[in-house]
Amino acid sequence: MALAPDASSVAAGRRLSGPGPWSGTGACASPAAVWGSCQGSGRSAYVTVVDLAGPAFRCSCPSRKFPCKHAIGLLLLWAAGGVPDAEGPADVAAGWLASRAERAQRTVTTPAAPDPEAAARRAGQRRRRVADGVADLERWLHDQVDQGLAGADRAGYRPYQQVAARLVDAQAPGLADGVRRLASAAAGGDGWPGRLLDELALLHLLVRAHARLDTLDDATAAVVRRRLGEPERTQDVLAGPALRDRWQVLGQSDASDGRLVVRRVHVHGEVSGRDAVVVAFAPPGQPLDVPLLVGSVVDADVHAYPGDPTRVAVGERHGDPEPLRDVRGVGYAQVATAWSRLLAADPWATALPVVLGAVAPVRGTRGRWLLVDADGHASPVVGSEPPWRLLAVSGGHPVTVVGDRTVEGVRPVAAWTEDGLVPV
Amino acid sequence: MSAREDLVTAALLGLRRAGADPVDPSGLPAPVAEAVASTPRATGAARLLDVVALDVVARRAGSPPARHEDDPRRGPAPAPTETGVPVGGRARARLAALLDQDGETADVLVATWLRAAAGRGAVVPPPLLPEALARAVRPRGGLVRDALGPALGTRGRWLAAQDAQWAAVLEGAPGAAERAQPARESMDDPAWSRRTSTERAGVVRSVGTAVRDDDEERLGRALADRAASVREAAAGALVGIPGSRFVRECTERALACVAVERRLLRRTLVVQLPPDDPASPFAEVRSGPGGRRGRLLRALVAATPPRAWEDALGLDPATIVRLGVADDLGALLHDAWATAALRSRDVTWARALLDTGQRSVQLLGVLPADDAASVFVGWYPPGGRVDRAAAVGALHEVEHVPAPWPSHVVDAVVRLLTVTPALDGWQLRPVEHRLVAGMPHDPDTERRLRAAADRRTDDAPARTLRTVADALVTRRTLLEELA
Repeated sequence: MALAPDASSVAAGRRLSGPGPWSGTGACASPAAVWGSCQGSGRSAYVTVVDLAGPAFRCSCPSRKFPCKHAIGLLLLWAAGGVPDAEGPADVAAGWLASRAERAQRTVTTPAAPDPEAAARRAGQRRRRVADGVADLERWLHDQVDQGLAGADRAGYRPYQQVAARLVDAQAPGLADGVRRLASAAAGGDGWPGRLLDELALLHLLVRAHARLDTLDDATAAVVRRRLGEPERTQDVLAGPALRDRWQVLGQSDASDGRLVVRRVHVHGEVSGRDAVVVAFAPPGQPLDVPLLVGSVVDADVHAYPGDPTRVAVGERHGDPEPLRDVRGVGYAQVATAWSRLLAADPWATALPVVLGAVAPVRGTRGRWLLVDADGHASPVVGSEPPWRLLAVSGGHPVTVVGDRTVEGVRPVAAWTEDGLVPV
Repeated sequence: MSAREDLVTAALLGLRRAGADPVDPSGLPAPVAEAVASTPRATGAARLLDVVALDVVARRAGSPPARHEDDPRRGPAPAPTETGVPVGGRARARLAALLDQDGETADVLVATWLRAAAGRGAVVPPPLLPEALARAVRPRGGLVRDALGPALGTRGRWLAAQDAQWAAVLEGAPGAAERAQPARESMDDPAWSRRTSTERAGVVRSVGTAVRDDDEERLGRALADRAASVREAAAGALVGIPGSRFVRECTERALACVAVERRLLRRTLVVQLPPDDPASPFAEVRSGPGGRRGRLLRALVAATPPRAWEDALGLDPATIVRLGVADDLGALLHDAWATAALRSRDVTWARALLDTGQRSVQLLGVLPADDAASVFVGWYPPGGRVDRAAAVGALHEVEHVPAPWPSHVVDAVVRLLTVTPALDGWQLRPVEHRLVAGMPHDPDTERRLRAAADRRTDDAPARTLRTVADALVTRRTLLEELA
């Protein structure tokens, strides 16, 4: 379901998930694929093939949604056990699957050949533009404080949007996002002056850090560059040092900032105990491609992003995923240490992936929900609603909670209970 | 005032007004003050922002985990151990998929799942409880609400108790009889008359849902309540006690209005409208169509046990309902008799009324299942001509035939679905879940629906037939998964 582009495709796919419209269906393990023809409203049936390894989809229907409802319906039918197993792919599927396999090999062998000179020229141009934008932002920040923040809570989003637009032009999208965040800090109700000032100060810190970029150590400089919005290329990250471990894939959460959907997948090293996130972006409506299945363990190399201490990219894999057997969490003391270390490396960080062992959801005063451990340490639960599902699966007993440590508290993403891993 | 608050105030006012250098690092926490001292000295706004930045990061990074004594435990005691049987993986996945779907057809299937699970002592898996409870408390979630209570299990009841809205599902879990008991107690409470009229009417109504003979006295008191809504609720509850004084009075008044006379060689029922009584405790008399005396007659007849007519007129039900009625009051009388027969679940009267051709579909529910099916099919026989509006009406009515429907009802439904000219999607969508609820889920029925769909082009009725057939497959498999 997570592959579907939108809710209406899911609904349409579900309508096609009965055996009624399908004929000539089959599934085989090598190559892993499912196929079938679906009788739609037209005269001839649509031929649908799904390559389960990708996953990738092909369908002869004219839909521009991807995957289309036929592919979703076929997968649902297959998941419900309505597709017979076959020895090898049928003729309708064999051609496409073979061409995919061929193409996959080709892409592996052809390396990209960048032009170093042009790249350097582009980088220089970019640096100049960013510097201009940053200088403007610094003046604007100083003006805010000189003139006073009074009234900013009623100013709305417009003034910030204009400044943000200028920074996007200056190719500093990270700063633009920071400026947009100011608007919500200002509109956040009680205590807004303190929060707005915090955000202004953090932006200012970024501006100051940019001015001293050449004198910073490599790690800090990388963080600053990323916070300014400079993209990090996956190839470069994958070229960095690898960290091999049995990575447990513990949870995933999607967030949308209006223009992009961001999927964060929480991975936890079984041996190293290290927590990290694999992040994927996509425009709304497009599938998010994270080749990690929640609830599995993969033996793989991961590579840390230099500019983002919690983020990793998955590199080479050493074997097939296995089901998750046990998840061990840490205590609040260790989380506090890790959080301090993260902020020391990246003062702008707002979320740290954590696995908390043996915490119970408890309602505190003012109706606030807390996660309490056996020693009585507690952290508020962050989220728009009471953590109903966490409460349901834990029954108020201590469980292992997978989530993010944020500035305000812990945002739960999944829980490990006697029933296994449950997204919450 | 703390150093941090000084900084916020300075920024709020603006440095132009607050003075050039409001920053006093000595008031800040020691590590921050040290860091401020070691940073390159800036002036004005830049310095203020530098100091705040150091302070905010230090505050975020350095805050130790809170002790929960700071926010004392008010929350729930942990849930007791689950005593219900957990369901298998496939059954769990099925419920998850059904809860993910919207619409009344999904509601029907969810309710089927819940009832089947409760029937074998199984409970809803904990991760699905929030969705199930949320679905049950939706405005039209009554079907799911009634089925969910028994399938909640220990964990589910514990969770539902954490939310005021969800707790309503718990109240639905015991039968109406258990709910009526606290209502009786509050009616006997000395503080009863101090409650609001809405509350009193609600309590009286819940007594009425499981009324017993010994309720007569307390309902009699409510009949003299100062609020009309409470009096009406009490009257509605009292008619459920056949031997009560209230019913006897209504019976006497109703019987006094009707007599058999011989006119033009034929026996005819002559109706004398009762004298106007504005204080009568019937909601339908207070407002409604027609004259008030007619409405009062209707209410009185509806409150009269049908058997009283047999004794008073000395005739059997089949004869009574076939008598002509003077002054065009026949429809009113038949309608009231149908209400009375429905309440007393009197099979003889229900059959007699239905035999006269009266289309009181709810009476079908009074008859034994086979008879109800035959009556319904008799209304829409094979080869009978039915127009579109009548077909849609019939497809709504068929839900009163007790499920699962025998095969000749299924055939009748298929005939109604495939009337010419074809029904539109908007007409069919509201009946789909009724058909899913009533059809038997054996493979033969499913085959017949699909065959009927295949005989048509791909139009709305064919789609409905396929949707219903698919839902029947789902129901069959979900029952297998739970078995």
